[in-house]
Amino acid sequence: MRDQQDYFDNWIVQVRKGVLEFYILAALYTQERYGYDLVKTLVDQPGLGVSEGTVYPLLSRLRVQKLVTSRLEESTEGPVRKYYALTARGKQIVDVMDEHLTALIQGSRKLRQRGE
Amino acid sequence: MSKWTDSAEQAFQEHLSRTRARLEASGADPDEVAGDLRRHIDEEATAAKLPVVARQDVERILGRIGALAAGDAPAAAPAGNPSTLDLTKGRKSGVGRSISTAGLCFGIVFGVLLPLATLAVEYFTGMCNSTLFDPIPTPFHIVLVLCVPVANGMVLMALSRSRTAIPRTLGVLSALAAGIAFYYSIIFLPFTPFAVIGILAFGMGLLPLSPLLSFIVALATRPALCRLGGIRLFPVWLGIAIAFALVVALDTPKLATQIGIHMAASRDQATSNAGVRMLRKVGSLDTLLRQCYVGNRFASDVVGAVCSLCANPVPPEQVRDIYYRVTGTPYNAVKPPKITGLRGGAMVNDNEFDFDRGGDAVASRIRGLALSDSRIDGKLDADQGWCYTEWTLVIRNDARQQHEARAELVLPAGGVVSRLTLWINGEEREAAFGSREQVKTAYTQVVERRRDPVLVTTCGKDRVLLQCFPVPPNGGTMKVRVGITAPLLLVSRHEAVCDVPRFAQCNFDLSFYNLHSIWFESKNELFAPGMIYEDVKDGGTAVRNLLPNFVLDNGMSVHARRNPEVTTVWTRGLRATNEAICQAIEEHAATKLQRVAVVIDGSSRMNSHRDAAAHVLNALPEGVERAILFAGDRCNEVSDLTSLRFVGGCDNVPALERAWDFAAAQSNSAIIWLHATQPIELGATGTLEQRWFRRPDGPVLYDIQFGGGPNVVAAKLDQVTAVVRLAGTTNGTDRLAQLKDEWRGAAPHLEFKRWRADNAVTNGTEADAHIARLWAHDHAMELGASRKKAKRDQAVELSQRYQLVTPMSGAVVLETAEQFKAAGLEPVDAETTPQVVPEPCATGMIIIAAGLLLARRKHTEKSRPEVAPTFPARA
Repeated sequence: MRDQQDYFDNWIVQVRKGVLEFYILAALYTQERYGYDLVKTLVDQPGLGVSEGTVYPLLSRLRVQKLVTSRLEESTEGPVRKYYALTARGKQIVDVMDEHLTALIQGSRKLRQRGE
Repeated sequence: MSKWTDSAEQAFQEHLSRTRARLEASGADPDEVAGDLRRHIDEEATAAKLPVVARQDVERILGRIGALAAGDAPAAAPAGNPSTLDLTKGRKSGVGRSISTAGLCFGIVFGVLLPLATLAVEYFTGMCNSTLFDPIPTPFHIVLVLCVPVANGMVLMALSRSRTAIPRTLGVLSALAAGIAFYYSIIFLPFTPFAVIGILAFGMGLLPLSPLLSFIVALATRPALCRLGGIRLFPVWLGIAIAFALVVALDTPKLATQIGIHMAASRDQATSNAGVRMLRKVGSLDTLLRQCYVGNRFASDVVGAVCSLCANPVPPEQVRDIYYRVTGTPYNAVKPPKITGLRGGAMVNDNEFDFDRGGDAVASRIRGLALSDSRIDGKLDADQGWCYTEWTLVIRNDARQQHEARAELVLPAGGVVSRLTLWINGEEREAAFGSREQVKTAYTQVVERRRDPVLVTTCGKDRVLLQCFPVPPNGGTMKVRVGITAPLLLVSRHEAVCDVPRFAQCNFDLSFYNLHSIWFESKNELFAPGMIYEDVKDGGTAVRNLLPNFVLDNGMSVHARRNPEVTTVWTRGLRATNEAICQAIEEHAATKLQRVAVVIDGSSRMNSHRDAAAHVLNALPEGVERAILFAGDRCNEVSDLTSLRFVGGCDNVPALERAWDFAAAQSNSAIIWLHATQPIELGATGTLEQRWFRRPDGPVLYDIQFGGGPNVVAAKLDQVTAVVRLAGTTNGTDRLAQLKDEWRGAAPHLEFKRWRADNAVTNGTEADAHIARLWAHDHAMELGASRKKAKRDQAVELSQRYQLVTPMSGAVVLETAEQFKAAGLEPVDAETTPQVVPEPCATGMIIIAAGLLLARRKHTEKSRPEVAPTFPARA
C-alpha cells in the first residue's frame, strides 16, 4: 500500500509539473490577473497542489518566452500590483495545449474502454 | 505598505542569493522573481496588518509558500524537496548582483567619480567660468549637479547589492539625475566634439563629457533598477522636465536680465526705458555687474551663453551704462562680483593687473591701495582775494605688487594747480611744468620703467587728475603734495569765500571716515562751519579740524571777513621784469532775471537731497517765468518735488537741452541744474555744447551738485563760460540768498578782475604773487581757447612760466635729473614755488610762538567761544 502511494505521489508530481504552465495560462485566458491573486487562485484549484512560491518563477519564464506580459499598477489596498495577461501567442499555445490534453484524455479513455 | 526590518531584508537577500543560480538555470529572470516574491510578502503582511515585516515573517512566509519549490526546478534537478537544496554552490563572481562587474565599474567611474571630480575642479578652479560661462553660479546649481553622482551612486549600490528597499525614492532621484545630466549635456554639447578630439589627440578633455557620460549611466541603470524593484520607475522624461524647470526657475532672474539688457541697449528710447525698468524690477544685479567686466568669456552664465548665441551680445561698455541707469551707481564703484569656488576673490582679479594704468581714467578701485594720510594746509588773503591750499596725500599699497594711484581732485572754483611735489627717499622733489603732451609722455615713459613719477593734468573745469606711480607693494607708501592757487569769491565787499578741495573720485580706498587734517590761516577773520577757531599771533585767525571725508564730499568752504576799502592791488609778473598784474573789484549792475529753467536730476542719489533741492526752488524770485524739468528716465515738466521718484541713474542732457531752449527764448535768463554726481556720460553732449557755442551770451547755467563724485557732463562743457559752479559750499545752497538778491535785481554782482599792465608799479597795494598766477591762469585759458597755434603756444609758455597746470599744460615729477633732461623738462626751483608752511628755519620760531599762543588761549578761552563769531550782514 505504501509503495502504491509513493508511486502515485511521484506520478502526480510529474503531472503537476506538466500541467502547471497550462493552468497558469488558462487562468489568464479570459482576464488579466495580478500575481498574488493568480497565485491564490491556482493554489485553490483542487488537486493541483501547487505551492505559491512555485508560480512566480514560472510566470517569469513565461514572460521571458513572451507568452505573457506584465504591467505594474498602483494599488490603494497594498503594494504595487503586477498584472499578467496572455499574449496572442500565449492564447494560441493555450488553445493548442487544451486540444492536446483533451485529445490525450480522450485517447486514454478510449484505450481503457477497449481494454474493458 | 509594511516596512521591512534590516534583518528581514537580510533574510530575503539570503534567500535570493541561494536561489538565484537555480532561477537563472530555469530560464526565469531572478530579479523579476525577487520583485514578485517581495510583493507577495508585502501582500501577506498587508493582509495580516503587519506594520513591520521582521525576519521571522519573511522566513515564515517564504517557508509557507515554498518559494522555488519543486515546481520551478529544472528538468535535470534531482528529485526531492527543492527547498532543501544548497543553491549557493552555483554562486560565482557577479552572482547576487543585478549588474555586471564591468557595468558597475563603468557606472562608478563615469557616473559617480567623473561628475564629482568635474564639480570639484570647477568649484575650486572656476575653469569653465573663467573661459566660457559659469555652470554653477549659485549654491542651488551646485546641489543640482551634486544630485547626479549621488543618485547614480545610490542606484549602483542598490544594483550591486540587489537591495530594493527604497525603489520609489531611488526611481525619482534617478530620473531627476538623468534630467540634470541631460540639461548639462545639452549645454556642453557644442564642446563635445572638441572634448573627443582632445581625448583622442592629447588624452585630455574628459571633463566636458562628464554630463553626457553621467546621463548615459543614469539611463543605463534604470532598466535593471526597474527589474530589481519590480515597480514602474518615475518616468525619465518627467525627470528631465523637472530638471529643466528647476534650472529655468533658478535662471529666471538671469534670463530677465539678459532680455532687459538687450531691451535697454535698444536705440529706441521707449524700449530702452522699458528695459531699464524691467532690470530694476526683476533683473539680477549680480548678472548685470558680471557683464560689465571685460573678459575672454562670451557670456557670464549658462543663460547668457544661450542668449549670446541667439542675439548679438551687448558690449561691456554699453552694459556699464545700463548698470548705472539701473542702479544709479557706476559699476566700478561697487566690488566686482564673486565667483563660486575657492578662488573666492573678485571676478576681475584686481590684484593682478590694472588695465587703466597710465591712462586718463581713474577707473575702478585697486584692492590694497588706500589713502593713508591727508592734510590740507591753506592760507588766504581775503583783501587780495586769493587762497593757496596745499594738499599733502600719503597713499599706501598693501597689495603684493606695485600700483598706480589715481585721483580726480575738485579744485576751488577758478583754481589752478601751481605746485606739485613728490617725496623720493624722504626728499622733496619739485615738478617740471611743460606742455600737456610733454609731461604725459615723460610720465608714461617713466611708468613703463617702473620708477617714481607723479603727474597732474586737468580733466575738466576746476578738476585735475593726479597720477602717482609706483606706490610700492607690501605696505609701501607714496607721498605727494599738490599746491592750488584759487581766487576768492566775493559774497560782498565785506566777505569772501573759498572752497576746500576734495576728491571727485579715486582708485584707492577712501573710507567713509577717512580723516583729513584741515588747517587754514589768514590775517583776516575766518569762519568755517564745523571747524575749530583760533587766533594766531600776528593778529590773524586760523580754523582747523580733523574732518571725515564725507564732510568734504558734501562740500566745505572757508569764509573770510575782508576790508571793503581794499579794492585794487597789484603784483609783479613772475619771471618778467616789465610787467605788473593788477586786480580790482568789478561791480556789475543788477539785472532782474527774466526766465529760469530748473533741471532736477532724477538719479537715486538725489533722494537724500530732496529737501536741499526744495530749498533751492524756494529761493527762486517771485514773478520770474519758470519751468521745472525732471530729468528721470524721461524728461518731464513738474510743478513740485513731492511726487518725484528718484531712481537709478539718469541722463540729464535732454533735460538741459530742453531747459536751454526754454531759457534762451528770453534774454537775461538762467538754468539751475540741481544734480548728484554724473559719473557716466549716458548721452551725447555735443548738441548742448553747440547751443552755447552758437549763443555764447545764452542762459547762465548754475551747476549745483549735491554730494561728491565726478561730473562728466560739466567736464564736456569745460569751454563754456556761461557755466557757473556755485562756490560757498559745493552744493551752493548757502549762496542762494545772495543769488536771490542778484536774480531779483536787488544786488549787484561783484567779482575780482585781473589784467596785465606794462609798468611794474601801479596803483593800490602790492599783493602776493598768487594774483599773478591767477591772472596767468585766466589768460592762458583765453589763449588756449583760440584756434591759432601761436596763441596756444603762448598759452603753454605762459603756463610753464607761471608754473601752472592748465588744459594746455601739466606738471610732472620724475625721479632723476637724467629723466627730466631726456624728457626736455626742467624741474622748477623750489624757491620759486608758493608755500603755506614756512621753511624749517622758521619752524622753531613758530613752535615758540605756538607755545605762547597756547598759553594765551588758556588765559582767554573762558571769555571767548571756540567757534567763529557771526559775520556782519552783507553790504
